[in-house]
Amino acid sequence: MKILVPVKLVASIDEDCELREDGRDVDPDFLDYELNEWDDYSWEEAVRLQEAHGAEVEIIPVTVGPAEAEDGLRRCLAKGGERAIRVWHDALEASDPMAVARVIAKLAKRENADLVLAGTLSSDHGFAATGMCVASLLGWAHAAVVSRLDISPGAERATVRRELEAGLEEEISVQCPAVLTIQLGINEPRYASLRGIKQAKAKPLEVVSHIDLGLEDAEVGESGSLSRVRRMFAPERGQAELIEGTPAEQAARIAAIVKQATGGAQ
Amino acid sequence: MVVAEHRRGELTAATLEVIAAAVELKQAKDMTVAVAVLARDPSAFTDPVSVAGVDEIVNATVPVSEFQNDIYEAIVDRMIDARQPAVVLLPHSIDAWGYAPALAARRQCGFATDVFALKYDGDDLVATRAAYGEKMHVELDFCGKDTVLITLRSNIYKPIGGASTPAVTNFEAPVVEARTVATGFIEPESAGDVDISQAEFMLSVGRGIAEEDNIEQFEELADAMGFTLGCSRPIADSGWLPKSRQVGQSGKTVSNCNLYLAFGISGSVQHMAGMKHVPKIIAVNTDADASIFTIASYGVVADMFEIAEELKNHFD
Amino acid sequence: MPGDVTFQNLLGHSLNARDPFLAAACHPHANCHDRRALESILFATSKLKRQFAVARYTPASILDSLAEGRDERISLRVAKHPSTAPATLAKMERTTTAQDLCVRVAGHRNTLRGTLENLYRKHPNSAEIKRGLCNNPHTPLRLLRRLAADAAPAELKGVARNPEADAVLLRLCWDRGDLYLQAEVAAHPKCAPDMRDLAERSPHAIVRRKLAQNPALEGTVLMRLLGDSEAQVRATAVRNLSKSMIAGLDSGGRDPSSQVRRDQARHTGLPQSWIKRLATDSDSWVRRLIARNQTTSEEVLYSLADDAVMEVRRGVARNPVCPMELLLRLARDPHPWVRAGVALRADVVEPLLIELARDKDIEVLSALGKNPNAPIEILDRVILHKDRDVRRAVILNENAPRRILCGLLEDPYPLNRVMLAGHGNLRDEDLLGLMHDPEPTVRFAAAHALAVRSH
Repeated sequence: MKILVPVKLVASIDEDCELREDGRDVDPDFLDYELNEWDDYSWEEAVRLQEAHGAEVEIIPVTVGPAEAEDGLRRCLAKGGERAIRVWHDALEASDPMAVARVIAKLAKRENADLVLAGTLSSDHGFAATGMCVASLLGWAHAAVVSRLDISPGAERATVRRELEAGLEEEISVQCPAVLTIQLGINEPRYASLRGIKQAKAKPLEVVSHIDLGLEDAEVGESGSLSRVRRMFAPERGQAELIEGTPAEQAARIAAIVKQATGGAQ
Repeated sequence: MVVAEHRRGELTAATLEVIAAAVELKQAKDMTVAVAVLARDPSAFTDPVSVAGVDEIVNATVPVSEFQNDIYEAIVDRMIDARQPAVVLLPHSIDAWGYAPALAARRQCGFATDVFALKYDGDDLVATRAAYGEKMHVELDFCGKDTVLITLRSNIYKPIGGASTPAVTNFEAPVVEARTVATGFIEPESAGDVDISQAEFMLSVGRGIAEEDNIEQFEELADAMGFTLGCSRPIADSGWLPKSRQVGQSGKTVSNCNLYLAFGISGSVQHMAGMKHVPKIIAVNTDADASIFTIASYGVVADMFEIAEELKNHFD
Repeated sequence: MPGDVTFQNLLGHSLNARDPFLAAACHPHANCHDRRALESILFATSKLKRQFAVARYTPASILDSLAEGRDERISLRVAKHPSTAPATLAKMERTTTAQDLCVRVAGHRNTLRGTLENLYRKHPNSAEIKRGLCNNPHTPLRLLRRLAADAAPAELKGVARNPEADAVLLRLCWDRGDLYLQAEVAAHPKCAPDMRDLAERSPHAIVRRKLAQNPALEGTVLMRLLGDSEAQVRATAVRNLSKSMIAGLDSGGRDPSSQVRRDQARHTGLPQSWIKRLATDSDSWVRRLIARNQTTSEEVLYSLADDAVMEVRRGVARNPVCPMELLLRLARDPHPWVRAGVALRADVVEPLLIELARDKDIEVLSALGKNPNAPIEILDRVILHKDRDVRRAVILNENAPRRILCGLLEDPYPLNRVMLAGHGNLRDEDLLGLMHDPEPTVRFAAAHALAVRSH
């Protein structure tokens, strides 16, 4: 069983960031990157499957991004897996989930993957879409927001739990091959050992472009996307509303917010 | 067109919000609003979706009583073929996460998720959503797409009151092979011991507490408010509260929390990893520049003990 | 522990490695010339500058250099940083005209009075700066008076809480204020007696309650407030009672409000008669607080150790005056949180710790790992625990010997390594190893520890 795990670095910003000249995104100089939290869980799930079944399972982290994105792949390799793939080309800039999904679907085909485990969403843009787009392109069965996974190499079906609203879960059986998006909390992701981090540096990391995978420029980037960014802007009010006054006054306001949220049950 | 969502025989509240958004859009652009109902017995939902502004209900009888992604994807796809709606609106819900992107990929229609504002600029639909963890907003358009599929964030649009008597039409649903089969629901575990990941309301204390003897005051307050007590790592490290109360990366994620009250928590990366997703965060800290304020919905620059003392008088 | 690494070694290593995180640790200890060399690494990119301007661990010397750069965005971040030194803030005030930067300086807790006075002199009409000045505890009285003269009610709230405020200012606040402001005035130790009378007669419970909190309040007024019709006022008054005043009261433990009885149970000067009564209170919070109260007699502690409510028994286990014999009993409590309370104590005998070490519960094990008296056999086991939080307990144990700590140098959890780098029992050579850690914060922590040691 070959498992493809798409991961990505997510960007976060501080309040005092500046926009790019075209006003459609933040100036890259102000972006700080880290591995998407959800991808820690999907990779951990893959590593566990690999550990449980040994040579029967191969796990490959893949990412769509420039050279800096390799950091995310190395982080994965420090915990398990023997190789990684990064796809990049300038034409991939400004790709939306659909355009990224085209690349990942092509990779899954090229690798003859049997399972794709993606994060449910990413913390930067929160589309919650890429994994399901991949499933559609591959014509595979799929399930989103998976909070428990039970699958064996070669099995025709996997049993998964989906986390629904308000803590409710649904158990479903999914035909394989499949694309599953993994929810936080499905496992407890490990921290890489120092030895693992060292070894990861030596593991092969293949770099390809969308063209190598048989995609046209028009199928990726903005032209391959299902939407187009008109402009980006900072919302008018800052995030936090400051509650002012004396402590008694502040507490009265907090109490009002609390009572409204709890339905005044208290 | 709106696709209604239901679970265990009940229309979801989010569906009514989406209908409200559709009615608002229709007024701007002279369109009609149709609500698609996919159910074993669609007529059961006729009343709940017949709110003011809805022009038509399109019923499709399906062989499952709960959501199934292949069936929803294929039938809504056919409906779009037949009816050519300019806009298809869904709630940004777990079920929609499970089929809307696949449907968009299949049709190559315009697509955006987690949208919280919609407007027309001339003939262009413009959707607004957030980026970079809500710190930025983005306006999207869908150059030239005939149909645009949108999932809408909840708690933005207010459901409309008032009933209507929309025309009800039946849509001949194709037979779809379902590649996933639901075997049942699993109820959330009722926590015998404290399980902060299940708590809906949390009150957490951090390093600002300074001494073990100060913990009780906050336990007492949490108890009076009906909140579950949590803490940041240094407090659990000191052995002042059990590790099961620790929120964060080393600790638990408060995944079901709706309101989080943070007392004397500066907001380390480790702590915020466990609670930054909570929709309402009230942070109390003497340091006006504590990191926790960057993710809080309400900031209270004050002494945590004074606020706790005052707050106690509101919850007897 | 004597260091074999000199600061010059460390500096040379940091400069050679061109590692900004090592450079950051060296900066405060370096001379002017070396600082410039370090800054070429620290401020190599604008991204690094931004990161250091907000990072909580950034030392004041780097913040000062960042402010020198005159980049307004960076300066704004520096002015928000809690470690920024008074001299840096003063320099910013002298060299900038930017309004938002001045607002930040006016509100910063490290800004000294001279700088605050300059700010007012240069910006007498800026509402935001004035607001910062009203709230700043370093604002001198004469400036507060001037500010108060034309301050809006919201700004007066800062004035009324300012420790520098005097009776005249407080009167002005009372006259111009709403209920909340008057309540603050009532709580201020410098509030004049006639205003206290006004507060005592206030129909609003909040004003009387804040008065009851006033540390300068006369005993007679406090006694009257003890009989207030509102529980919140009585409870606050109880907490403000001195030991001698309490001794003269006989009504203890009988208040109908549990809020009041809880505040009684918190008091550390209670007569035994009160304690006995409160120890059998129907409200378990009252019993918990008595269990923790150091005034509580052994006899009462013994009875509370059998309480059905776990938290009451935990309170006994955490009470510093709990006798050893009783701790032996609580060490076998069915609830792990009670046993952990015993294991956390630095005053228990070794045989008891060894007995507790048979426990499987993570709370008990981490309490033992942290215990300065824990024998090495226990620590040996705790560092092998699969839970990273349990292993970290040993790092928090000041007495943990180097041999044990070395077992954690490659702990997979980065935070554990960061904290380990601060342990005094590691040798310089161990820290040199941590300076090659993949995690930047670990490298900083190790270099920081070495820099401090070599000075």
